[in-house]
Amino acid sequence: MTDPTKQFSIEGLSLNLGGEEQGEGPGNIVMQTWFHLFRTAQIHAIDNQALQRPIAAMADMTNTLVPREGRIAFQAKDKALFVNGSKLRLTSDEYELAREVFTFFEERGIGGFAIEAPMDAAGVRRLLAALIYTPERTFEKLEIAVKAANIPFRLNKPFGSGRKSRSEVTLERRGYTFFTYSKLVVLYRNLISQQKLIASQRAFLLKKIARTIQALVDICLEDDHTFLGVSSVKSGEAYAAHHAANVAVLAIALGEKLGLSKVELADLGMGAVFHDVGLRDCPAEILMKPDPLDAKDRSLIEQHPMRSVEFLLNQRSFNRSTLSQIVVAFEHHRNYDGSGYPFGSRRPDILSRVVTIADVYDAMTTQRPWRNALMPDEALGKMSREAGRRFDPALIKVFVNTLGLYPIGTLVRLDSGDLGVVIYGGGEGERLSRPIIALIGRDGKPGTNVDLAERTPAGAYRWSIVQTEDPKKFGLQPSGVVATSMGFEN
Amino acid sequence: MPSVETVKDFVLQLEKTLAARRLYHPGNAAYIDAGQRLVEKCRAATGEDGFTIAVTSTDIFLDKVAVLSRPKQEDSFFFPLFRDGLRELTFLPDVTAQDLDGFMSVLELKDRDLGATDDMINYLWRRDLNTIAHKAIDGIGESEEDGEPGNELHGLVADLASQIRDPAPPMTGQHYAFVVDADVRVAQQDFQYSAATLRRAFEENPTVLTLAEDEAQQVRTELGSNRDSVLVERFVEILLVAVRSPLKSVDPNTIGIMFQQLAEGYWNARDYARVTAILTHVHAAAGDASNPEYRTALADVIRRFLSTERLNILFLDFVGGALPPQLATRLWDLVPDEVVWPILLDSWSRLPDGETRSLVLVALRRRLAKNPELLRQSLTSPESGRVRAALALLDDKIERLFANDLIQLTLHPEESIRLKGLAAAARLGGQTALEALWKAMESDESKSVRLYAFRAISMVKWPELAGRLEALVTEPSFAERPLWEREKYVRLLGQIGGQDVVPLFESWMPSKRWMWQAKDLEILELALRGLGSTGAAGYERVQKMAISGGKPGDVAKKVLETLNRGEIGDATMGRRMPTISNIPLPDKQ
Repeated sequence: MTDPTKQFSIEGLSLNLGGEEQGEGPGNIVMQTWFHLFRTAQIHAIDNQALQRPIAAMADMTNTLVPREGRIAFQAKDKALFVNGSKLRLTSDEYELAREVFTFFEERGIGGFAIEAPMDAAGVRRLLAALIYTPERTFEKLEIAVKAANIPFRLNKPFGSGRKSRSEVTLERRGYTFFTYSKLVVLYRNLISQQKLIASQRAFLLKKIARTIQALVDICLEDDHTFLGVSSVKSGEAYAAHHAANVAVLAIALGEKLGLSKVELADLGMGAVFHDVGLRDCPAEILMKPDPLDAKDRSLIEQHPMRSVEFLLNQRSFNRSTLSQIVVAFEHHRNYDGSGYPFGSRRPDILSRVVTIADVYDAMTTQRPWRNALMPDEALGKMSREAGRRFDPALIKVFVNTLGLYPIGTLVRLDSGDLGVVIYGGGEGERLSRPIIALIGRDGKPGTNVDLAERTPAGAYRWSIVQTEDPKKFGLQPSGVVATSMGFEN
Repeated sequence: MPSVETVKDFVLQLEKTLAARRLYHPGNAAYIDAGQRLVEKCRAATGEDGFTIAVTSTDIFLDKVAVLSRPKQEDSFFFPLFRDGLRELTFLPDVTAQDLDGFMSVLELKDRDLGATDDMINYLWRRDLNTIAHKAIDGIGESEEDGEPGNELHGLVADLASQIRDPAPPMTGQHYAFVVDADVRVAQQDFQYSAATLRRAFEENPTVLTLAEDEAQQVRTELGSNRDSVLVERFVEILLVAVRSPLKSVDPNTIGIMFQQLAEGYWNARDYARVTAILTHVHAAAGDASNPEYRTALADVIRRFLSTERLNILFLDFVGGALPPQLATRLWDLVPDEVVWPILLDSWSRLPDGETRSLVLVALRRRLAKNPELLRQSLTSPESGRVRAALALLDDKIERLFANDLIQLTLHPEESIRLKGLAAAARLGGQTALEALWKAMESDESKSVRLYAFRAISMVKWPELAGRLEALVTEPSFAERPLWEREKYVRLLGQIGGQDVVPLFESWMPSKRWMWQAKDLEILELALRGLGSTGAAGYERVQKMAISGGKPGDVAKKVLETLNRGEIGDATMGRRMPTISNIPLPDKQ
């Protein structure tokens, strides 16, 4: 007889496990020292007094850490920094530093560096001469210069350079993003459309969904703006599958802004995909009912978080990822203030709160049989008003920062009178309110792209948004504009 | 460019390291050595440029040169990776030992280790290796052959992709106002107002969208430590909601096993607070879940988890201080009384005096107050130690509740327990107790028990006693009892029979004047002892005989001496009659 305890396992759970080291570890010191050195060197000449302290700090750092650690290998990968193979957990103050480090590396085609032996101040100066005080911007030339400096410092190429990723080999990155999104929609649709899948079919679909979510995480880490573009895809058909995929995309994007690790993003994405899977047990005539729901209908609808949990529990295989999925599925209709359903006073987990925001945003911006879709900016405005009651106010702020005040897919009218669809927005600074627009031609097709952050020689903005427009008035479907203008030609 | 030989060395070492890892514990020298060799050989192969190997179902290639061939799938360590889609592996310069270890941990996986949503490639991805890259196909739009599973989905994906590029125009037609949730209905204008308000607020003060430090700290805290614990706690809450659902949509056994495993996880971490919390919830749900199958499954969890062996371990930890008393008490409360009672009782009797013993005593008394039957079962237990412990738990207030059981102990095989039973019988009184005392006095195999019973019975007023004693001393087998016993019975008969039994003793006196045999003198002595105990007249009669001289006179003198001494002795003994509380327990002697 089979031992029932071996039917499944809860593996990978380390109870009371502490989080990653954060803040002032040796890795953070390397990053900070490096940042201050190149940042100051970019401003001042090598003999400037202001540069002497960063040079001394760099020399000290190598003298302290290299003998202890053997070497220092500093590498950037997927928007994360690694020191001797360990990923750095950055404090909020360090995010800005890290971004500049990435930019510095990207501009020069550098993936990272390795320091093999302690360096003195003279060695650091030779390094700066080879790396900073030079017009060269290519990896190959910089590498030659660094080698010629005769210091124990070696430049590394970006991770995976020289080998195109599958997306680059088969499809353009943007196309690949849309293609991966489509794959997720199809897989999920297949999973929920058949009530009685045999175990092997179900396992096949679940594994492929997991793989697709991983691919989406990779895309998000490579280019979150392109990634967000797919969340604007709306479809009258297969709402549940599109909704699941959109919520996953939005949740991953928001999670990435929160600093979740790659694996945590995948867990969040899986939770987002399956958050509404319990609705497959709900009759279509209720889900698609054009009239207001009566109490009985609502009761059925409100059972769906528990039905989703049951679907996930019946996988009979548990690890941290499935626990996240189950928690998210159960809590995504519980509000920040503890109200909502299923009944319970506890504030939802942070992953659930992320998915709630993604879920509501996508639902609001999608046309349903009983109501029109809201425009993206309207949905964001409405959600902001509900911050603190329904939504986590901090996460709402991050969400608005992620999407921008005019999220991708928003139809806007410019002060030039032109109509355009936002195809690139969000982020920091002026990009938050000044996205990139695909202008709509007379034929309704996307034409030229304009960057609203662009200024005239006099310093004024060249274009500005005067108002948002309802796409229905113009018979437009913004997601098609976004897909086309982003080069999706599968 | 790495040489074929170094890469070949490395892939062979991969195979050897995998074998070592499967054979040995991670702390074993062979395990560690294999890992170190792997790192050395990998670094030798990567050089300054790294290398990429291609994986097929039977071979590993470096630039189309086979570096390892394993035609049989069962012999191939890389086939499972290939099966799940792996096609290329790239080892970068500076490959770390940590990444190689992570990669090996994926190779080590067996199919049975994989979860429902996982395959080898998913696992490999989750390892997040920084210096080892992989390229895999997923069989959906990324497959090499049309026949691969999942390829039928490729067409669907392509169709959908074209719809996305060229979507249908939006529908129109609002049936009613947008409903964000059940109770709130807002008109379209409000949304435009909200959107404009948000933008205006940002334009006036861009920091409205910046996280305050306390907000950022809160997010970091939530995402930081104890994520696993948080998830598990919430998961438990969800399971409890599931089992309270009237529907039985999740297999009750599955739920039961999940709870069991969660409790085991906390148990292994020696997190008694969480073990207690989870089991308390399960216990409550086992009582109030609406579906009987859930109730049964959950009750089974408690029963299986809190086994006798585990309760004994918990008790040891409780005594040792690792399990706080309040948690111990809660855990004991989850177990049926009939299971935990004997454990507590047995352990309590062995504890030295002190706070721990008092706590257990409180737990025992609480159960006893609820269910006196527990003590009854212990008193009738075949285990002597438990009976003794149960006796020690008794006090005057509750003794009468167990009168019959205590009296029954007069028949217990163990002498010390029989003695306690007799003591209880003597205190309790009543016909049954007296019968038990009588029986013990009359027929117990142990001298001390008989003597004890005799003393006890000699101190009670029992109308039947004289008649019974008379019958006892006149039966033919009485002569077979030891002399001391016969003397005691006769004296007692004399004391309580008084003048009524004088004729009996008179009749025992031999009528001969000479030729006294030892047997005659023994009977004379018994008769005189009886007579001397019947009262003043009888005593005078013995005195007279003592004066009369001869052998009977000598016997009478001896009787007179011991009569005086014996009376004093019996009175002393009477005051020292053992009771349940003053007989020391054998194991505390």
